Amino acid sequence: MLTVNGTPVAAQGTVLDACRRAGAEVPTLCHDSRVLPAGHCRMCLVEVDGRSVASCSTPAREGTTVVTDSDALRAYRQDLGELIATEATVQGEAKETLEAFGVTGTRYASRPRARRRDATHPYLRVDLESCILCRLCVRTCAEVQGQYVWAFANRGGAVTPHWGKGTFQNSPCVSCGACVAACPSGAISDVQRDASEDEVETDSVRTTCSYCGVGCQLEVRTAGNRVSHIDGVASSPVNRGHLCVKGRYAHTFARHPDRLTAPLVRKGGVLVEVSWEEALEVVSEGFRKLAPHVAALSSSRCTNEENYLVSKWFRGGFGTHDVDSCARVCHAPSAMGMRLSLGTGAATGSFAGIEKADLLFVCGANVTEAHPIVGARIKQAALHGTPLIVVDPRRTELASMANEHLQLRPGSNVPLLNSLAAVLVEERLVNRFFVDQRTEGYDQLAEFLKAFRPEDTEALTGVPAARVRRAARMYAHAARPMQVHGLGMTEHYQGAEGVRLLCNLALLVGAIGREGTGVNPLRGQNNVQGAADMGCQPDLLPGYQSPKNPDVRALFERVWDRPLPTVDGRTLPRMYEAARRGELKGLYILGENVVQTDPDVKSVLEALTALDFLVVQEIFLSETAQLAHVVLPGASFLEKDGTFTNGERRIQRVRKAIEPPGNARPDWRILLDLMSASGFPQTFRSPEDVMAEVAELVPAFRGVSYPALEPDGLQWPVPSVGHPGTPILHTETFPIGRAELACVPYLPSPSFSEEREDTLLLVTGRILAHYNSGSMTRRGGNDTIHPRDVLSIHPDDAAVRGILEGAPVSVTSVHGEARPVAHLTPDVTPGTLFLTFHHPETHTNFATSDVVDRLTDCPEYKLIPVRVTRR
Amino acid sequence: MSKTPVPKGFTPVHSARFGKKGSQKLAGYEADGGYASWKKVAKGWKSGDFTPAKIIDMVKASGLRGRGGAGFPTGLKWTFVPPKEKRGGKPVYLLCNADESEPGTFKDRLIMEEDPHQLLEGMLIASAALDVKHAYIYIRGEMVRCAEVLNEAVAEAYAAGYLGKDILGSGLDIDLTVHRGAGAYICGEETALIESLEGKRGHPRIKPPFPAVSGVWDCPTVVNNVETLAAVKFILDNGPEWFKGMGRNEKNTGPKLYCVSGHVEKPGVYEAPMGIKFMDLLALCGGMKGGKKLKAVIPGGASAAILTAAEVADLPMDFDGVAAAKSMLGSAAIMVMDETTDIPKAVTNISKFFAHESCGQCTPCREGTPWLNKMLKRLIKGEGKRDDLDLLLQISNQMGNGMTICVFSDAAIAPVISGITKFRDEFEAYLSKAKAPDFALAAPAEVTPKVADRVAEGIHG
Repeated sequence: MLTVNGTPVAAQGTVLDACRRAGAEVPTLCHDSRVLPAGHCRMCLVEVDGRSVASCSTPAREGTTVVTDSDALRAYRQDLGELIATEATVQGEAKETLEAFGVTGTRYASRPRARRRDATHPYLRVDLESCILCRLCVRTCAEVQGQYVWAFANRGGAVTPHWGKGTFQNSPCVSCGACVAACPSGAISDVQRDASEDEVETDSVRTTCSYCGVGCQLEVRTAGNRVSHIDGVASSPVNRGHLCVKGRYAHTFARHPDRLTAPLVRKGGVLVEVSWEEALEVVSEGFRKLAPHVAALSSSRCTNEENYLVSKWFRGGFGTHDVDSCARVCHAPSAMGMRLSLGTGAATGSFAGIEKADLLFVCGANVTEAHPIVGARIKQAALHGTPLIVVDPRRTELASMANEHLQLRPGSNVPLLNSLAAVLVEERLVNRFFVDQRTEGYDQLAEFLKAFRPEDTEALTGVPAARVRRAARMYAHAARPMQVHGLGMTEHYQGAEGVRLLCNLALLVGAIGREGTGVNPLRGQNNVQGAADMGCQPDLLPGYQSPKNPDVRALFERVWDRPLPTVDGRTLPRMYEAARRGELKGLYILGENVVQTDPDVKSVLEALTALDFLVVQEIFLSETAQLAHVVLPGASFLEKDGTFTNGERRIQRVRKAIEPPGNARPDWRILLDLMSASGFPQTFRSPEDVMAEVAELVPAFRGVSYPALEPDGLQWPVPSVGHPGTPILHTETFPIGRAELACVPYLPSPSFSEEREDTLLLVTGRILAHYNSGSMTRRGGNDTIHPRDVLSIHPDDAAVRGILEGAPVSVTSVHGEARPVAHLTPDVTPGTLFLTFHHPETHTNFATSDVVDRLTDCPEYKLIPVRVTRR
Repeated sequence: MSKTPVPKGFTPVHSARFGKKGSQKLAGYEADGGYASWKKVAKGWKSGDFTPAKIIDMVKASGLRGRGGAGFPTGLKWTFVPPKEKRGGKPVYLLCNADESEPGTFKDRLIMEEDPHQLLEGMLIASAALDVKHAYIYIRGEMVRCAEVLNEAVAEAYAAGYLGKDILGSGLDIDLTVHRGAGAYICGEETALIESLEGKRGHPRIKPPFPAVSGVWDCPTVVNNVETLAAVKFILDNGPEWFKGMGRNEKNTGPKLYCVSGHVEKPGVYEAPMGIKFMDLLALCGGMKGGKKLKAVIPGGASAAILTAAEVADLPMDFDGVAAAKSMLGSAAIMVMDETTDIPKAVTNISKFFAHESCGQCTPCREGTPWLNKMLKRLIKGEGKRDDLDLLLQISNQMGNGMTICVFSDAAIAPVISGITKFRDEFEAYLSKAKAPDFALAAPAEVTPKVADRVAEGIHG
């Protein structure tokens, strides 16, 4: 114990922590809980046993007496404030802090020096005249994002933050906004916030970001019925106050004039606005007539409750298991592969493991671009010395920091991962105890892997055997090696099988079921985990329960009060096929722009146009919605309630911050109205009611209710009411008893048959500033940051083809042509290309192929032989 | 050999070989008995005749105190390094602080330029005592010649087997690297030096942890001054009793290099027993230049409080002696000012130095040092305001005494506070035409404690 102004408090943390616990006010200017204390603003000085010390950087000690207010301290703080006021035109919080000490000017009439200003960036304004040199920008940039854009230049009174030469927009800034959020003086400010300064902030709502599977917690500040700006929630275990350029800034789409504000029905070939009554009638009639030859594509962008309703509506209402979601085109192979090997198709650990792991193994994931907050955490871990192994055909940002970068040829995941396992077996690096106790199939695997010595696969993978051996040894020697993987693993002909090989690696060294270990797919979309959990996949009901199980059937038929169909459902690619054959006649698409995001667009278009009835529920008139017979205006995540489940199985609340525009409605409400209109009325009055039914049907959700999700959500399984959730799976046993080690032979993708002498291998994916089809991120400043899709091509490949930087090129496969501009970079190896798909005019997915994963039908987006020419 | 005069009965130690032909070369050093102690240590290492404890005890017994400025007992500092079993496998580093930048100081430079092997030998002995496998000399960026000489000396020592693996068959492995700074005064502060050696901006660190526990690369680190480490060699050569025999008392021992500059006939580095009286030192320098009257003395570099002629009249020039006069011996950079010196201008000049060299971390120092300089410049231009002197003292008061991460701002205010307090009439003369202040605080604060009291307590006390 120690005393603060006479109040006894525990001697934990710093003196400042103790003061705050005691309720004593201590002014600070350079303190932020996200970075290490720097102790240099000196505003937080207090007296400890009569000595002045900086409370932020002094450990609280037993038996000391702390005084936070005295004549001397007040005089000191006033002088200090005056010194600050001498050098800066202070704004913001810092100004309030100074004014609280009576500092409104300075006795040395020194004119503030002209300092650097910049207004080139779409989101950040810099005016260093207001800078009080607290260095929070420098520290957050380094310690939170790991970007090192900000530094200090000069010394003494001439010291100034610096971002290098040129405009701020041309700096290496990734627009995460951490410096803006931390800046107390207004020197770095938020353009959106500045613009809404005159408006009174009416509310602040905590919700979950909808831009990727990380599930960052947002504090959405609203002014009137619009978003003023967004902050990160510092107490959230997921993002700890940090956000990325999408989560923090890309919310302006919500009030974009392109938003759909009324239902549209196609009449005489044109979409015309109609009333909700009419639209609901047209939709329900349309599907009723065609049932059961109808299908639903649900949305990983929507809430758990909405996904559950889609699954229930089509299975119960129309008697079809043809319900799928976009998990099909991303992590279905992870779910399948991990279910086969481990028994559960979801991340085995938590993001918190990143800081606990003593080795990070990143496979086929460009984390700093696609999952920026997890990326920043991995970067910090690597900067603090955690060894990093990256498996990726591209030199990604993490690859450039890695201890081992295994830069494999696209399509050689299986031989490479088998080789890593082969080294473990050959060099006796296997955890025999774990393997004997908890797995099956070791002897068979050991025998099988003899054909996969790294020396044997070297020619196939392009990775030198010595590096494979080094990486395998590093992985085996770590006490807590943690894997994260992305779509580079799944979007392949052997996607699910590749994931099984990742499981093999973890199982062989016993790196599963403990903190800081495991196999952790980084889910691409915000609720792709939830969409699958809620049964938006043809073969499984909510909670991964098979309709073939009689007990499960009985339970669902009783609760839903409808018979379940007996015919197997179709996956999305099979739905397209059925539509082209005329077997599938009606399709309901919730919030997916498949015309831009699904592969081999020409065949997708054929399928959609062959349908008798296409309904698209959307927030914009997307390329897909333009083909629909009916378009229903839904709500964005900012405009509705519900839950999302992130990549670490954490179910988190989504809360309405603003109203949907015009006559647009929350999707759950539209779904309830549609169910009602189509003769399957529901008694739910809110998403919370829906979740109650989920909890009844799904054992892993039994303890889930909205009150139980406060404040930071719960990680399923939550098997009973009051259960704290399960951050780590498989601690004692696997749901299938023993985990299964898989012998996966290498089967070259059929795509390779299209390889010719002059083809290059195209890999597609995402970049930081944009999100998938870009319908949201293109409607705002993110498009200024990244205005078009660019094709990364190695300078050697470009030279042969006479392609210069920025040249428009044509990327042609046997399926079609994409039209990006070229970017010459050695980050891709000769023979490999990378292209994003965020802009419709690029037509990226016209070139992608119809080859799919053998087990799950997930398209092979990561391996397309193409020709590249100037256009 | 040295032509510089020394006190009667005193045999030069550090400076004995200064100016001698080939004094930098290993051959000459060995011919003069150099590396004898290191050979003794190396020879006795396996047999246990020499142990770390034995060396540390000798250094402790000698009473050696750090020659860089603070005067901290060297042996005691060494004992702060955690024992091997508590280091978690981390190595210990020895850093020689050769960032000699305190205005008026130029003694370390002479050791490095004239007799580099005495430093290397001292560092080797210290490394053995502290279980150091890699030692560094962090040398001020501007001292190019020193770095060249040192690097040659290091190469010679490696070639002769005094450095490297299994030195002289002792089983000791010691490497030594000379690292050049980039020219910042603050890098002489030991934690800023550590940051700089790590490749970062030279910003002093928050203490604790102290370097002995967590220094360079978060490993236990000992930082010692050039002259201090060189002294270790002589203590091993001649024994702690010999060392202790020089000096005024138990706590102020050994030979000392004094850097005398300013208004004396022959400025330069003078070696004398610790505690020589100021007037005796002045005599060695040939007295006041042109026979002018002594007015003031800065006894320990720009960071030390100014002393009046009366205060130095019978002043022993050692750590405790100068501290008793409310100033400090510091790096023994003695700046002598005669009656023609304009103290306000001298103080303004010093304040310019500190405004330029502040690292810019802590608000009071970053903003305070340029403020002091601007106020003083305004004052000597005759544009001062009536209460400027009190304002200067008030702000100075809020900059020192632990208000900042390091002691830089304590150093910056020492000349200002002592100058104004002791020579107030000279400052007031500039204020004869002073105008009224143009700004008053919203709620004027009371200044506590009273500045005058604090000066009396001694700002470095």
